[in-house]
Amino acid sequence: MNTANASRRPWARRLVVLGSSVALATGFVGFLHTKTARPLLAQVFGLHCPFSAGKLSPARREALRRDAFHVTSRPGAPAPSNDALGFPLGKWARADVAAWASERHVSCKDDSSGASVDCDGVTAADVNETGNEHGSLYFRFDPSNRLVAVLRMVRVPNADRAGTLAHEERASLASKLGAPTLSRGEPTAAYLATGTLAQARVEYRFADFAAIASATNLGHDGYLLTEEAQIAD
Amino acid sequence: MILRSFGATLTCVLISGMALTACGSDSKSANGGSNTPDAGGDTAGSCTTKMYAKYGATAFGAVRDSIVTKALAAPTDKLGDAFQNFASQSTPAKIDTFKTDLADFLVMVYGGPNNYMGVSMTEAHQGLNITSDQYDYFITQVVVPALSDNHVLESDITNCFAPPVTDATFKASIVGK
Repeated sequence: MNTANASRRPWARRLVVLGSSVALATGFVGFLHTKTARPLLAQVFGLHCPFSAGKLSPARREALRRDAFHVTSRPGAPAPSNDALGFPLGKWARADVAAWASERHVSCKDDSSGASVDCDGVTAADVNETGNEHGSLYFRFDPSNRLVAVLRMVRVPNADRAGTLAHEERASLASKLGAPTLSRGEPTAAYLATGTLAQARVEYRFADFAAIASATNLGHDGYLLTEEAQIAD
Repeated sequence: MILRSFGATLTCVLISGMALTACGSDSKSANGGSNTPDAGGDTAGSCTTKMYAKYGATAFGAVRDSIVTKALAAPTDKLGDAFQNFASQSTPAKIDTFKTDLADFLVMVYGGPNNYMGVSMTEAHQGLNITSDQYDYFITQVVVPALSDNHVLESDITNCFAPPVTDATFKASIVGK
């Protein structure tokens, strides 16, 4: 028996070594695929995690945003203001948005890409406007966590309120930015009530800044008002 | 992610399909910068399947291209990763294939020949977790402007295009899957 056990020990030792090696290798490979270590995987080994193959890098995502901006921008004239809903684009950082949300008790969460933050239940007062409506806010950041775009979406149940808010939205933009680059539809209850998908829309496009405001009749879903803005770089 | 992009692709197809309903616009339908709704002869929903015959293949192609361009350039990325992933990672050939699929879907929805070979909307959007906000953003900031840019009559947008894309059952087949 002792002789037999002695002859088996080398195999047992080898199995332990092999098992440990497999465990270590598995752990190491698993670690390389974690969010923390993916940059190491890419930079040192020149590889990408296959489970995140569809994810854009922050730099690529930002490059696409800038490319898209320049497709529709108006060359030459800079915008008189980069302010959007009270948020200074290009100046605020992610931490400023977090502080704003905390101070106002607004519920926000990072999206899966990590490039943006979604906030729900945002009141008009939270964005320095009047009214009782709640809406959502969407903040977009560049790879250095600088605020580069913001979108607000507000739903209202009737054409009267939608017309009032759309009119106020247009007046606010006009006071800051002047005449729009494009204007379609009328910001009135009568116009918006003409049918589903009736839309009042203004667009401001500058070399360094763009803003779009719209009010749309969504039929049974009421009326959707949007205001969004972004900077070029 | 590949599945995600594919799903998003079909999302676009689907919705755009509805969009093109009203689309089209040959010169005969253009009303340019009119700021008032025109008094079209069609009533809501009665004209959806007449759009292909009214506007033709060329107009459908123009609106389709407009929808794809706007979706890929959504300013604040509110549509999520899918469209930008698609733009970033697809070859020109794949994008062309997508556009063909989109056109086939639109033509089918709006009364033209049924050449669409894709999967159902629910199946196409499975796992994408598209939100109601994202869906409505796509309709209001991509589809409606694409139609307007191509001079689609406002009465056609509200009467012919709107019913399918604002249908609660249709929306439910895409949102939250």
